[in-house]
Amino acid sequence: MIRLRKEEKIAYICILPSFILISAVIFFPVVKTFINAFYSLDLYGNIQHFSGFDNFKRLFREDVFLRITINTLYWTVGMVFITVAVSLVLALALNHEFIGRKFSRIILILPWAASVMISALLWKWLFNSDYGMLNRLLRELHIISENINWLATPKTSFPAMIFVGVVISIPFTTITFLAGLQSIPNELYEAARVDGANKLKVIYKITLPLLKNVFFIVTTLNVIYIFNSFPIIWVITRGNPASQTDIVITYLYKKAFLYQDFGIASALSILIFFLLLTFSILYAKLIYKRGE
Amino acid sequence: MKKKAIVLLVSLVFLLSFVFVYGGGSKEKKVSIKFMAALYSDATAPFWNETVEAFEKENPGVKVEVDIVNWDSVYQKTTTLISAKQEPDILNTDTIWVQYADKDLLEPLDSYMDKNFKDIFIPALLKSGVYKGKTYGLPLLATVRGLFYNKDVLGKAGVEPPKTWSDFVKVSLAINDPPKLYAFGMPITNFEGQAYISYFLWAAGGSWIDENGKCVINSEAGLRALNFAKDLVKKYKVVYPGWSTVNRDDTQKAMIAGKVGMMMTANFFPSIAKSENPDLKLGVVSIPGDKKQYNLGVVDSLMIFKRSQHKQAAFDFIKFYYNKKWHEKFILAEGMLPVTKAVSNDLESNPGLGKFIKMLSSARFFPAEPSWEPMVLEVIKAWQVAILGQKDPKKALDDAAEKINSEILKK
Repeated sequence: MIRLRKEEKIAYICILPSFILISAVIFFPVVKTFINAFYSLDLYGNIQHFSGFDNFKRLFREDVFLRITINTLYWTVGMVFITVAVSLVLALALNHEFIGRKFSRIILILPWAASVMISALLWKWLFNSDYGMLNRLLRELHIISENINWLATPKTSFPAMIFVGVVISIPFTTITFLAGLQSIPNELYEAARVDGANKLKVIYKITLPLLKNVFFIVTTLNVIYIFNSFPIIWVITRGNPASQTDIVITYLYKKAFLYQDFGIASALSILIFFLLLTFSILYAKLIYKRGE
Repeated sequence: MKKKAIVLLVSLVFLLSFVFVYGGGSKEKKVSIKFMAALYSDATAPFWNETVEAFEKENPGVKVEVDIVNWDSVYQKTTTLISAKQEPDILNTDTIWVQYADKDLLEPLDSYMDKNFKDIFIPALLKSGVYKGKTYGLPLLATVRGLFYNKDVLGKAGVEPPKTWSDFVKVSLAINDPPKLYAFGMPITNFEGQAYISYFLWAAGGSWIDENGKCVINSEAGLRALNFAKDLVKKYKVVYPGWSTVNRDDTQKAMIAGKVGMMMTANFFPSIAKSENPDLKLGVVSIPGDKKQYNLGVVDSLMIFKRSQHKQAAFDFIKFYYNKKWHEKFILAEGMLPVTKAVSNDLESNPGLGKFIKMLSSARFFPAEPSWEPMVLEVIKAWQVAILGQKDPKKALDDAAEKINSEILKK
């Protein structure tokens, strides 16, 4: 038997309640989903009989499978890239002393306080073709002469939703970058200044290399959040028309709760689980390698 | 040392609290029934609370717990409860009850009803709750769908509301003035796409399912219906844009704002419109058909789950609701149509509802099919891609019918 030190014992006792809670609400459903994926299920998700890879085969035969995969890639890569780029610039700006800096920081954090559902609902109305503020603004600025129905076709609705996602993801990302920036010791900057480095050089040679770890964390977290982000699409287009604005996560929900096909939904969950797991492990490895 | 003791104590309290949460529960002797009701409007919750209070006063041994759920999540919540074997005693939902009946989850109500009780209902509406010869759903309320039109818009163009498809195209072209005004609102999305598809499908003489239980959405009439809808969008360009992403409520808002000239929707639309735009003058006619006009009726139902421990008490509560006083109150509060003869007669001369009560008497209903919901979603998808021009209409319908017949209806 392993002998635990006293502190260790106490530590285990302390984490026991959370462990039980997490097992009940996370581990158990994950295991159950794994089992379900290999069984034929009835309309309410009760197990009927073993069916091997049947659920997976049916999933790959879905006519929209390719479409939602491409959408998900577009959604995740596009949104993470824009969010990280914009947030980095914002964080660099907010790290400088200027009048109104505190105010700007507050403005930046505020949207974070609203739930994603509510933000998405607001944006849905802002994009509305008849009474949306966006069309009105563009008309008054004489950029457009006729109202654009932003949400009518996937060509405009999907980028519009990515835009909403970026706006929603910026506060968290910028704040994390800011925290990273502030952990960089001032002496380094002073030393660089003494050596005669210009501002751009300081950013390239000092700030960005030291921000690498934060950058990795922010990207990983954002990829996971955004890949799994359900409310924006659900509120704004529900994946319409014909699943052309669905991503895997909204499609998964539809399969389970609208089509009541829990078999395919479980199979899709397993795929997502492994995809995100692989991604997280790869990223963790990268971080630890560079962190040494 | 003291600190550690405190830490230990706190963890212990946490642990024990879980035990109590699970072990707890009331030990009352009263019979308690759970009723999951759907949210129709702001008036729904006050109505049920009042009804329950009155019922409990008359039946001191019974306690009714009402859980009011938004329509958006009624299916999901019911599915989750069924899979956890935690169904409520009474459920208020729409045509999806057929699926529950088919899976033997519902209690047949015939043995609870005597002839007198059966007699209070409008026969067609009571019949809509029958599946395989047994009554599972009792009608809570009914709605009827018609073609609503903006009187001012049609008047200015000097046209009469349409009766046939060719009329419909003529009227649409006469009033169409995009982007200020689109002649027709036609939301074909998850929310009410099945109704819009039915309007065209039935008007063309087609149907969803034939007498052998096979999906015949790809019949000649089905194709004609789809092509007509497609022409409205692509050829005549009279349809409010975004028809494949907006839902019925969004389209109603556009009509209230004067952006849409005509749309099919339910009898409760005028009361919504009145509160938001009192100047709007709405007219209504039966839905135009290829050959003849008709109406679509929709019934929402009450049912009792088989797993309920207190079926008689649950039925007593349902029966209580059909007292003229309560049923009429609910109907008036929600702007819906009555299901009992007594209330129907009472409201026949009601200026807002009378016309619709008449329309309901000749209405057609959605088929009672256990796989209705997944089937409808497939068909909506097929119509969307066909109208968007991404797939040939015939091929889209054939593919959908093939998938429905081989995978969905079999289940």
